[in-house]
Amino acid sequence: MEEKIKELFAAILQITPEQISDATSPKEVAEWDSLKHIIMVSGFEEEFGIDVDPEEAVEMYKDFQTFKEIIMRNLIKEV
Amino acid sequence: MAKSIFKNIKIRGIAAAVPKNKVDCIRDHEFLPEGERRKIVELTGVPEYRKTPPEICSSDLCEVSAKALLKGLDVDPASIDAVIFSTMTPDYKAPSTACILQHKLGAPISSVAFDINMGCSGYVVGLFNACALIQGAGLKRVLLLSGDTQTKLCYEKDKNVVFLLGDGGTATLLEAVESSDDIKIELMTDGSRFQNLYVPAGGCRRPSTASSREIKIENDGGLRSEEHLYMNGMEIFKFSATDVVKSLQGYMESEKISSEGIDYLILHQANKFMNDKIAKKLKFSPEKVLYSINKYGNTAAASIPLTIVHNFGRMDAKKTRCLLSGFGVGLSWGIVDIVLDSIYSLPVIEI
Repeated sequence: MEEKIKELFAAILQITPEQISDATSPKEVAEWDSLKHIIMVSGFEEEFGIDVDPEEAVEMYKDFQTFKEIIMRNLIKEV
Repeated sequence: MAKSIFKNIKIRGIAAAVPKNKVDCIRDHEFLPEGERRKIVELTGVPEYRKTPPEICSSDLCEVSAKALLKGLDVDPASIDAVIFSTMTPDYKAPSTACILQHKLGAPISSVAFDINMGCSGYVVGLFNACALIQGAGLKRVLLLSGDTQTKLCYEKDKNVVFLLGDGGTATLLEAVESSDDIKIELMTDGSRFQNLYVPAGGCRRPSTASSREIKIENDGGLRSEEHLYMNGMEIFKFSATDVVKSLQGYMESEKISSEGIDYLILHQANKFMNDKIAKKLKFSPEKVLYSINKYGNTAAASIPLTIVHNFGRMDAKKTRCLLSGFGVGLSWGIVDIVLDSIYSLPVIEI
């Protein structure tokens, strides 16, 4: 699942999965701006059938690890 | 702010006007790849909005709305006690545009007229001031004009704002009456975060210079000058998702009401993704959440009354309890709990 999240994340930002590590943050990736972030959150919601809380969506704009963990947390909630 | 309760005040009617000129976000913003344009539109819920030509200002849109409203209600402009204009896009730095509108509308010299320099919270702050003038100062009839032409503040290729912001102007007539449902208002301000949504230069603090007018790529990737509107999208999202939601939740708890006790939730039309999230968090079903963003975009001070006018043509005239919330520049935000009872409205006017 982690790989799938990374692939979708990279696809939306139009970068390669190799450019992404857990520590990757918006400061390092120019493509990860606020508009793209919201597009990503929305894209993940649609792809995985989840509903991310607005406060979580804000928290996810920290680094890839946080982004991934919140998506996985929501996936567990949906099961 | 403590909750203010206003008694014996009624909104008689609301009218709204927009420019005829439509901007199609997918067709017209070719500076971004088409795929990206489509994704942005899907997210914001703004396929199109209205943009004024240079010769039309916010005050013109409000003037047209006000004249149509007064005519429709058969109200003599000479009976107006106050003209309030909520906007962040006035005609001049001085005087208050409301003074000019007092004359254009035919309100008497004995009326008070002033601007409220607010954007997305302009309507709720304006309603507070209008109600305070009626209840506190004993005025009988107040005309609240609320509108903005934000496209004049935006650089046409700044992707952070030009997919969202449109132009509109509205007029609302409030009157003292013998009895009515209470109007409850709470306003909040946090000026420590003003730099997340502002025009950095061109005012008295940083006067206009050749450098402040230079168009360049800013740190957030947006293309604009320092005299254009800057929005820190993530901070504004955070503000809306946390402060605004908490205030609305707090208000509903204090009133001991759930979404079932409210007929309609009418939020400032920030963007569809954001508003859907706020509504869901407050447990409002989608049919109770009114929108105009799909037609007119985010129209700042006009957005709440424009949404009412856009939707009221197909709503019953019966008593309708609405929870309004405006939020934006300041940062400032507010809640108005109001029963709209047989208000006069007419279709959105195009000029």
